[in-house]
Amino acid sequence: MKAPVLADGDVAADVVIVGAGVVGAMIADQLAGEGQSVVMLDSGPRIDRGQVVENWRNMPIKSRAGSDYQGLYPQSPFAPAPLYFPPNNYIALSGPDGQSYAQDYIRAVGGTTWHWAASCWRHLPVDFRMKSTYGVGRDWPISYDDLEPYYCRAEEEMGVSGPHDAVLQSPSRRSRPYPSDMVPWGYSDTRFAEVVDPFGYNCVPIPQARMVQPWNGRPACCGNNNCMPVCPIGAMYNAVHHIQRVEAKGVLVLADSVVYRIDTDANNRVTAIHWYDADRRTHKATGRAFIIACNGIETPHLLLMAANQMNPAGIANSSDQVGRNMMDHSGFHCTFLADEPLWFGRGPEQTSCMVGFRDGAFRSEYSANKMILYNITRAIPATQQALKMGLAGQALDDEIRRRVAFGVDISISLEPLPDPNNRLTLSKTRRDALGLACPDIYYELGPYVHKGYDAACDQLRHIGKLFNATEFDITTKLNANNHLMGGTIMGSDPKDSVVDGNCRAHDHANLWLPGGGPMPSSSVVNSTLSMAALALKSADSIASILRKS
Amino acid sequence: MATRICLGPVKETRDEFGPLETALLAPPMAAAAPHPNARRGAATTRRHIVVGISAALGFFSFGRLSSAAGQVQPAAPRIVPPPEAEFLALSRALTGHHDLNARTAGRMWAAFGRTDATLFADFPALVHLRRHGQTAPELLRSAQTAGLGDAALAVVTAWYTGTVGTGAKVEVVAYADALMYWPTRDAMPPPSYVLGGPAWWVEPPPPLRVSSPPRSAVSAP
Amino acid sequence: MADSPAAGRFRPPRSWRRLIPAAALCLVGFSGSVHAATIYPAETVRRGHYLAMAGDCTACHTNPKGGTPFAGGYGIASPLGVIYSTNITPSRKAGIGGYTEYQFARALREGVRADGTHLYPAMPYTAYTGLSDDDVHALFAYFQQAVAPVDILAPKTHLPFPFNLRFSMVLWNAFFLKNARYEADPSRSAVWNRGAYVVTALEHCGACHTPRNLLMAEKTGRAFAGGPVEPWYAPNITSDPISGIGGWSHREIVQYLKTGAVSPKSQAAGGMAEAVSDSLQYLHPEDLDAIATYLETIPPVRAGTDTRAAFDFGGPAEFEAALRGVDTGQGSLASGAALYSGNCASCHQPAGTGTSGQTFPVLFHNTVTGANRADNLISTILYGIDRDAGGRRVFMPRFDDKSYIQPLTDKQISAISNYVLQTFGNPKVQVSIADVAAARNGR
Repeated sequence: MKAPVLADGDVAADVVIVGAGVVGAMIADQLAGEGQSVVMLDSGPRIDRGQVVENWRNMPIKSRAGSDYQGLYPQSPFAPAPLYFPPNNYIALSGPDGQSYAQDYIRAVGGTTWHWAASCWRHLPVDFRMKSTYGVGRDWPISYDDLEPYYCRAEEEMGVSGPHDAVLQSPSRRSRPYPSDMVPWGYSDTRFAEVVDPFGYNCVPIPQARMVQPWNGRPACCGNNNCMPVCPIGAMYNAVHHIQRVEAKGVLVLADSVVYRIDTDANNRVTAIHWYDADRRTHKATGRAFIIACNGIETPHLLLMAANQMNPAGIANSSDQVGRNMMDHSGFHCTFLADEPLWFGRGPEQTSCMVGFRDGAFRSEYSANKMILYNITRAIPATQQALKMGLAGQALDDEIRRRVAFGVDISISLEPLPDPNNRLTLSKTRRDALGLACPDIYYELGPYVHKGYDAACDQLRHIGKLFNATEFDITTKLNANNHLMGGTIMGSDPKDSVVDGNCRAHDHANLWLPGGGPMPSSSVVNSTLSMAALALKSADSIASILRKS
Repeated sequence: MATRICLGPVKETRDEFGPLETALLAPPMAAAAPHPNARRGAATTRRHIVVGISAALGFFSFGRLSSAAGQVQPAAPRIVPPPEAEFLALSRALTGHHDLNARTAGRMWAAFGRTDATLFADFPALVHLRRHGQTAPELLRSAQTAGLGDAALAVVTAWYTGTVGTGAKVEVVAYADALMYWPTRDAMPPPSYVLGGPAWWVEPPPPLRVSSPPRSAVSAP
Repeated sequence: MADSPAAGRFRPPRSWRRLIPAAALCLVGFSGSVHAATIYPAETVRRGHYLAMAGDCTACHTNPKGGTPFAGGYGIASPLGVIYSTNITPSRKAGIGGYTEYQFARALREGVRADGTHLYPAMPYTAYTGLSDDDVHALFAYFQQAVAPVDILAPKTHLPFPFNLRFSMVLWNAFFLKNARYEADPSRSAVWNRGAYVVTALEHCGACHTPRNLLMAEKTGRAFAGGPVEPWYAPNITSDPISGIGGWSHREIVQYLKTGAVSPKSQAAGGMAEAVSDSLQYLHPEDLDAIATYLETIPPVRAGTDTRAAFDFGGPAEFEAALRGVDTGQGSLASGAALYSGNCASCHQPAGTGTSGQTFPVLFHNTVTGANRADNLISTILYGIDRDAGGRRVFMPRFDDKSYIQPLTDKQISAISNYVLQTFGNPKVQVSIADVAAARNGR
């Protein structure tokens, strides 16, 4: 295994990967395993898990109540990510639904899998054919069956527990079983399913990248109920597991390295990328294959910033689609008190989900939905509500216990369609500490999503009735769910897409842009497993090209 | 079975601990509140430590403190306890929890001083409202009548959330030991800690032990 | 590690956990052996299987890195160099398929191979020498009949001069091998004698727990008084109530052997976790009882500086009240207390009380934190625990550079160790950064 060559701080390697998150790390693992020399650059720092855990415990109640999953993570001063307590306005949001795109992500070695819930869903086969089936959105240039083997491999790479029982699988078309059977349900999931399943809501176990037995040096999940924002015991998959592995294989991982420039030659092949280190010195990495996997916002951000003479609209952007078609699972919440104690909050933060309406003929008219039974302890809202009631002593304690036991929080995800107007552009006024233009994002969700919201509300009201709900509430503003998709969209026509079915840029024969950006349809399920599958598919394609040349 | 990890009472050997620690390790939710007079004896024993803390924190705002310092006598009715001890007693009365940690109380009292001077100035008056045998709700109502409701609620909120202050200045003095996690400690841990080994949550939840929410609701679906 | 190099011990063998089902398969599949030799009765073979498990042959003779049962090839690091275990499957080409029972007995009990060469005492023939003829016969039957032959030669051992001169073992054996079968002590009960036999001739506990002299023979005068198994330490298990296990009840000893844990008190890690997982948990209850009976009579050996039993130290911590919210922000995890809170308290709890059910044990009244030396505390943090006994898999992750959780530096581990020792354990024991570095290089 060859190690990259270092001279004067510059690096030469076979493979240059920008972004040390789950996508970059898996690709590095595959290619280093084939004997390629790999260098990875991440704009942010390395993370100390114990420090982050303590930071969370030291946060004031207001931040934790507001789900500030960003503030506990260190940021490089040269690589800002969105902050909200208080807001740092790194990304300027506009449009009627701009605030629905207020995303969380982590710019650090390991990426946003530091604070995800580890839900590992597959798209449905029909999700790859939204246009031809439902007349909306786009088709993928590849099919579910093309990606299926990579879904299996991604599940094995991350150690995913999912139901062996096909009745509980969504979808059930799979060529290999899950690495481990589903994470067992507690009382809350079981009881909730009992009540709603007769009505077609179809509660299924969420396939998740954690296990209830030790696996590959990773401990079993012990229900710390802290997945977001950090697993204190490392039971949850986190891309540092692959970073760990690749560094042992000789991959060079450089933190605090902000890429800002991409060089191309006369054939529009990428020849080098340039980055700033922590002292603002600039360095260069040359290679044969280049992968940009910075997440669904930072990848298009970088591509636009790195516009050069040959690519004035941005790298890989002859289609003018880079930064367009921005999608996320815009969503909302429904909370209520049930008429029986359900005791949500025991175990991992997300364990079951209603998928009864993730597909159907209605998708030609309005958005599908999925409804996660949030398993985060209700202690904070219960306490805030009980304090507001002016209670004290035993009455206060009883009220907290009551609200925790009976409280329900459902997180609903909707399915935005790829709309070229939903777009990331470079700010003309705001610059970061390196002088690089900050991102602006315009976001507008049309009737497809709003009708989907209405339909979901009907379903929720029905569910509420099944539980004789009190204090029933549905939020009216759509929140972000941090599943960044669409900004480097996949297609077979270079005129209206950025990458092909292997996530290779149409414009640059040796540039790949895997991750959420290529995904032409959002479906309603968390995107990470699809991103990882695309990463592995890209890796196979890159490996075979490197072997040939 | 509850794991009482946070408010700590594990009945272990006491030879390692002095009187302060022994007092801290008393079982929670003691059957009866200590008699106010009896408390003075305990406060006297803790006084050196509390005085030491206050000296370190530089708080001598109550004047009485300097006259109390150095006078270590058992059960002298004329001696006025230092403000942190009074704050601890007030906190016990306002929360109904008799096993509150004295060190946390001292830190919380000082944090109020730094984050909200107005509220802090109400504490002596709040202390004066305490009556023997009063329940926490009664004291809270009495505070509200006396125009001290905000201060009283702030104290309760601080003990329950572990956070002092709501404005620009906030300080955290408790997380796992915050009272908000106590009522459901038998069912789930404070987030980031485990309650048991792998897959502990498949065991049935504990008995409810409280009444259901009222049926006449604000908004049914 | 403070011990002199020569007092260092052979590395703890890593046992192959899937032995038992695999061996059972062997039993089923190969009882009609490929050899044209004697067919042994099933009962004898079964007994031999039990004895092989009690003697934990697989610990050395099965390569933990995916090796086939008993095919050898496991490189055991000794202070003299790497010693490879031999293939003891009934392969004629590569194993002991051509051995007569007499030759098998000589190898087992005298350390001499069929071709006359001497085995190094990494093979604990000084313990197995106590085996009765009956037991040797049953073992022979098991190995010839119920183990699948593997025709792959194990690598040869090449120790540096002069240790490559195997005939020097003749001299060593003259001093240190008491070539005699175990003889029952008529003044003791049958149970005690059985215990003595299991401990000394089968489980060979002394191989780890008895200190060794400069020539690496067990110091018979200090039997079971403890010895290094770098980077771990096999503690004093004499009957001394302060330095040994004299303060343990009979039931506690049995429970520890069977499950690897007694709570609060102690939990097995390192080589002992393997011994429990791969051997002790399968012993018949009568044999566990016998072991405990014997151990209770081991002449007490007191370490001069010990004043309290290792399980008698410490109490719950009070981190939260004193430190929550005090030092905050990036880079604030510097003190042992803060490092403990961020890295350990999630499972072991802020007060160190562990969980109800003790899947994650209490850290005070714990022989690891209360011991008079910190080897096992440091090694537990560095290497974690993976123990599978009594149907329960107990796992603590490692925190060395291979950790998938959080690799901790020598400085961090020394700070955490000292916090744990001061708060939960023996406050006289101190851990330096160099101590951690040495333990990290010990494996």
